[in-house]
Order: sequence, then C-alpha cells, then structure tokens
Amino acid sequence: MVEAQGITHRFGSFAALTSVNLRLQVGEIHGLIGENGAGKSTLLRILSGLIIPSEGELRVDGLARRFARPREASDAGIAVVHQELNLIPDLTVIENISLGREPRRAGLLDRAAMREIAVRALERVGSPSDPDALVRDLPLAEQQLVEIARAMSQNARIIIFDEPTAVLPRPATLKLLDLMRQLKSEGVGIAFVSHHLDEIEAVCDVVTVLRDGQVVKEFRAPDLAPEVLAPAMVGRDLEDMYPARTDVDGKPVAMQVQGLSAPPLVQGAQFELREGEILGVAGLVGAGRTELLEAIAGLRPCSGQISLKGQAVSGNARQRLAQGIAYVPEDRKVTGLHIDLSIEENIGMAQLPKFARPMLNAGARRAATEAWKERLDIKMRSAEDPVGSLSGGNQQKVALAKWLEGDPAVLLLDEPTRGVDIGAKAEIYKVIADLAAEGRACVVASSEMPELIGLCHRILVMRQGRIVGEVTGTEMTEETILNYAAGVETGEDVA
Amino acid sequence: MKFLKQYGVIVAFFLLFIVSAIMDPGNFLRPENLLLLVRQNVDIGLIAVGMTIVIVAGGIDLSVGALMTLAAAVGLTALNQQGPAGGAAAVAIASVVTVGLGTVLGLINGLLVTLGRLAPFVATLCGLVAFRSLALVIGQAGEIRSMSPDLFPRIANEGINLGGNLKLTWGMMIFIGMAVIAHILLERTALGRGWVAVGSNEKASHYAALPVAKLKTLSYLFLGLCSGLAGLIYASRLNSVSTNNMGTLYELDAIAAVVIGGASLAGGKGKVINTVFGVLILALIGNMLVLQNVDSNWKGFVKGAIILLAAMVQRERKAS
Repeated sequence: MVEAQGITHRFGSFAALTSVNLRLQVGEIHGLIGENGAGKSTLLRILSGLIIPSEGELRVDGLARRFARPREASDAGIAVVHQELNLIPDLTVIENISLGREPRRAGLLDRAAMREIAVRALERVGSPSDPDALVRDLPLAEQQLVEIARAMSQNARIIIFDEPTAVLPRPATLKLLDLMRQLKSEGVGIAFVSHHLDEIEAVCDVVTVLRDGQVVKEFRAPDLAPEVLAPAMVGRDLEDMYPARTDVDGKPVAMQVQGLSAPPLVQGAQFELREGEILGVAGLVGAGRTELLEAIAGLRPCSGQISLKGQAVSGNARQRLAQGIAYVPEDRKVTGLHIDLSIEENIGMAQLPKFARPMLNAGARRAATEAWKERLDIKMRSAEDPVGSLSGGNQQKVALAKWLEGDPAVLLLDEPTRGVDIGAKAEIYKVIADLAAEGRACVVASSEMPELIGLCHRILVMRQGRIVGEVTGTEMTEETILNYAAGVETGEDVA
Repeated sequence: MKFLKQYGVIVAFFLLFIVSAIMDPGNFLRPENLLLLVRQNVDIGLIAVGMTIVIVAGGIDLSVGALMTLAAAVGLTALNQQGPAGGAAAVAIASVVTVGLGTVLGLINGLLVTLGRLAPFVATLCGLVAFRSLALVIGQAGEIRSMSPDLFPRIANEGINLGGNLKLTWGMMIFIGMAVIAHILLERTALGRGWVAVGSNEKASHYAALPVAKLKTLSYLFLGLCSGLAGLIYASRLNSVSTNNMGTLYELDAIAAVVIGGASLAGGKGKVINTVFGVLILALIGNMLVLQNVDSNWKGFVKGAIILLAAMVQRERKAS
C-alpha cells in the first residue's frame, strides 16, 4: 500500500499541490482525474520519485519513505507507465524492457534471460510486437504496450498508468482495461489517470478528483458516472459539451477530393466538403486518417485531384497553405508547435512572410497574438513565454491560431483534443463550430468517437487506407462506425 | 536577471577586460594593443558569426578552416595570373574569386546536407579534409605568395586613420558589417526566424510549411560567404597563403566562440552579438597570456578551461 499524506509542493511561489492525501491499495484500481493543471502530473512525479515534495510524506506499507530518484520508487514496488513514452527508440523491445535491470552472467548481459523476461511480459499485456524489433519501428500504440510490459516485468505492486489510453485505438483500450482488471485480481494496485471518464467508470473502484492542486472529493464505485465526476472536476456544471450544428444543406461545395492516393496508407479517397461543414474522419490506428489529411495538405506525395471552390489545388504544403488549406497536426510537441519557442513566435510561424517582409514586424505579430488570445480565450501570462509552458488545451488553441492566421478556407484538424482536459475540450469544440459557422469547412480526424459523433455533420470511416463508409444523422453511433472501421461485426462496449 | 541570462557573456567579457587591465594596465590598455586584438581575430570572428547562423539552424560546419584556405589559395593564384605587380583589377578579381568560391563551397556543404541528406558533421568533415587537400595541390604543399606588393595587403592592413598609429582597417569594417548583417538577418527577418524554427524543431517547421531545405542550405551558404571573406582578409594580412597551416583548427575556435556565446549546439538558440563577445573573450585570454609572459603552450589549456566553464554555466542555467 502506498500512502501520500499532506503533500504540498511549490514551484517558486506557485503551489502545484496543497495538502493532498491519497491512498493506493493493492488489489484496487484508483482513478485520478482532474483538469490539466490540477496537479495530477506533479502528484505522479512525486509518487514515482521524480521530484521530492516541499512538504508531506510518502508511506509504503506504513513506513515513511523518501524517494530521491525514480529507481528508489521502483525498488519500493511502484512502477510508472508514463504518458510521454520513456522508451529508447534505437534499442530493441527486449532491451527496453530490461533497461537498467539487465540480468547478467559473469558481468555480461544474459541475453537469453532478457528475452525470457521480455517475452513473458509482452504476453501478459497481449502485445503483438516482435521482441527483436527496434522500438523506433513500432507504431505508437505498440510502443505503449511495450512500456506497460516493462512496468509488468518489474513485478511492481503498484502500477501508475498516466493516460495510457490517450494514444491507443479503441480495441487496444478495451484490452488494456481488461488487463488492468486482471492485474487487480492478481493483487496489484493500480493508479489510473485518464481524461476518458467512461474508462474511469468502467474499471475504477475509487476515484480521487483533483482541482487546483487540492483533492476536492473522493468517489467510490458504483458512484462513478461521468455526469457525477465531470462537475466535480471542472468545478462548475458543464454546459452541453458539444455546440449545436448549423445547417449546411444546399451550401456551396468548398472542397472536392477525387481519387486521392498516397500509397500505401491512402487509396482512392473521394469526398466532397461543403462550406461550414464539419466532416469527421474515423478509423483505427493505422487506418490512414493522418495520412489522408497530410496528403490533402501537400505534406506527402500523392496523386489525384483536389479542388477548392472549383479551383484545382496543387503544389507543396506552402503553396496549398497559401491557397487556403491548413493542416493542424496531432502531435503538438513534435509537429504542431515549436515547443521551446515563444507563443507569439509560434503564432507567426506558419505565416512568416506576412509578418516579415522582409523585416520582422514584431508589433504586428504581437497584435495578432493578442487578438487570438482574446478570440480563442488562450490563458497565458505573456506572449513571450514558451508555448510549452501552457496547458495542453491552451497549446492546442495556439496551434489553431497559428494556422488560422492564414485565414484558410479548409481546416484539417488531426486529433484536435488529444491530451486536453474536459473543460478545454468543450472550448475547442466551440471554436471549431464557430469557425464552421463562419463558412470555413473543417475536417476532423479523431480516435475519439463520441467527439466525432457530437461535433460532426458527417463521418467518413477509414480502414486500411480506404474510405469504407460514410455515416450521417442517426446512423452516427459508435457501433456503426466501429463496424466499418474494424470490418467485422463487433458489438462490444467498454463495460 | 533576464538580461544576465541572455547576455551573460558580455558581462563575462567586461569582467575579464577589467582583470586584464588591472594585471597590466601599461600595455593592455594601450589603444594599439586593443585594436590589434580585434584585428588579429577578424578572420575567426567572421567565421564564428557565420557559424552562429549554421548552429542556430541546427547544423555544424567543420570544413570552414580548410574552405577559407582553398578559397584564398585559388584567389591568390588568380591574382598572380594577372601578371606581376597586380593592380586594382587583379586585386578585385582575386577578391571576387576568393569570396565567390567560399560562397559556392558553402552552398555545396548545404546541398550535401539537404539534398544529399548527410549528417552535417559527416558532410563537412569530408570538406575539412578534401578542401585542405585541394589547397595543398594548388600550393604544392607550400606557400603561395601574392605578386601584388602594395595593393592587396591593404585590405587587411589599411583603412581609416583614427589618428596616431590607430587604424580601423577595411578587414575590421568587413567583420563589423557582416556581424551587423548577420544579427539583423537572424533577429529581424523571416529568413532568421526560419533558421531558429528549423534548428528548434525541424519537423514542426516542415508542418508549418517552412522551406526547410532552402533555409538550411542558405545557412551554409552564408557561412561559406563569411569564410571566403575571412580567407581574403587572412591572405591579405600576410600577403600570402600558406596552404599547410592557414586556418587549421579554425573550425574548432569558431565553434568554441559560439558555445561561449551561449548558443545551443542542438540548434534553435543563439545570438550573433554573444558570439562576437565569445570571440573577444578568446582573443582577450590569448592577449593576456602574452602580456603576462606565460609559456604559449599553456594557451590551449586555458582556452579549454574557459570553454568548459562557459558550458557549465549554461548547463546550470538550463536546470533552474
């Protein structure tokens, strides 16, 4: 059992956590929820030995412990599956799983034992990965499973899952939840951080809600419905999560895509998009959603025709951006933003010629930044702060502002709410709906089906690079979409 | 505090300056000494300014010392082919050839990195050995003497008289001019912001539809231009090119100056003005050792210690 008592942690004058108590029991799944910035990450970092709290103590099986480094926490039986994958891309799956705890014989690596450990751990998490593959070559979802397998291989008694499902496709998520239940029955204690309240409800025994660095409430099963948890998290009643849809029947066609192929992941894509329409793109991981959007944006070589309001679109990403097609990538840290650079620098980044011709007009860029801050309600202190210092939701707003600055007619959004808390999600949905209401056409690719169903006029479903289905109106249910996406009859649900 | 973070190297320079002045006020503070100190480091300074751009854009260039030698060797050969006692036309041709060749070689480096998709370290390592070798071939492993006894040396040795023995040489003015241009390019133009963007995160730059390959290539081209100018001034100062030892280890001195100036070798961070002060710090230390009559074999050790110190100060800054 791991207990945190009266934990307070300050960064400078800012208290990230104030007098937090938490009890993680073996044989129990403990949900930890809260908006971004509520203090979850800080708490997890304390439990895993990454930071030492300013005040308070940790007890493991009743004994006060002080973790000066992660190794001490894991020796005490606490393993963490981090949200940001902590794998070494250039090592194999086997090497990653044993990393830092490699079995040795006569001072040399015992490769056979390493393989055995890895194979057993991979089996427990149901990973299909080749143990000899380089982690770099695995899809994100499989990397996540390797990370979990590593935690398993350490025989941890408490495993902390920090948003493990954020990057997983639906079937893998269901598997993971099953796995958590199985581990629980084997006597492992689990701390589970997730933004998906349905998952929390499905597996947790206890849920602790954090807000502004304090524990606001603890809930116990079966009292864990999202309608109960969400208000406690946000601290106010959520208005309707999804904004109303505008009517787009009879609106002129904004973009037409014909026979678009970017092998192997986009094959013969064909669709129309009306002004003001929000079109969803669903599909499992690897179905080609991202690749479809990137092909339209000119970010990967492709064949086929794209026209924008009747005008043929061609050229590289730069030219297409100028013609009115903007793509907001899914991974804010790697592709979407320059995470170390300032907020204003990022907002100007996709439109450098506009702000620098040829001399940089810092005043104009600052004015644009302030305008977007107002318009999108970006919570920031100074336009000069690094964009990485913002919460996920506000980073996403900066990313939106960066591409909206070019006033695109078509906005391609890839996972626009990944890693964003529930309050900020609702805000981003509203922003998207407002943009559509202005007459912009939006394409939203997402692995979160409720989001697509709630937000979109119409949803395309992709499987293996092809658009295999289109659902609209009352057909837009998770079941229908999943049927198309998986290509089989599955009626399974989370619970 | 923010000022100290961004411009700590300037503060460090003035501290060192004061220490030098206290240790040997008679010699150190003489205007002739101070000007000489700058004049002798104009070539390294030019290269370091260009190197700042390349490093900010996420690259590195090891070929610069050899590049400037090759450019100058070809330039002097062109000068001498114009006949003895080379006049204004010959000197002009030599200058254009040297600077032009430097720029072209920089462009080649850039294309190897972008179109050739080679790691900058590897691509320019090839240049380091290959350019030197070509220079040795041209100079038959020896010295190429300029046949312009009067006009050519003026580039580095003459200039605007400041009164007395003091001169602001053309070379110094070129250095200052290029530093100002580089500073403005980096801080105030789309090109410069693009360099920072590419060095900070190449992938995100690609997604932001920046012309990544073009930006990277231009950074090497600019450094090639700077190196060509450095070669010209160096050759003019000695009125000859010694193909086997001109510019050796300049690449490392230039990188050292950039590092002392606080730029990140990972790219995305660096200021031209800080690099200039990095050059001046290295120059000051050399000068101080000479004035104190320290055995010159110690110079490298002291330099190494200073670079280490600068790197450590910046590392601590990062952690806070």
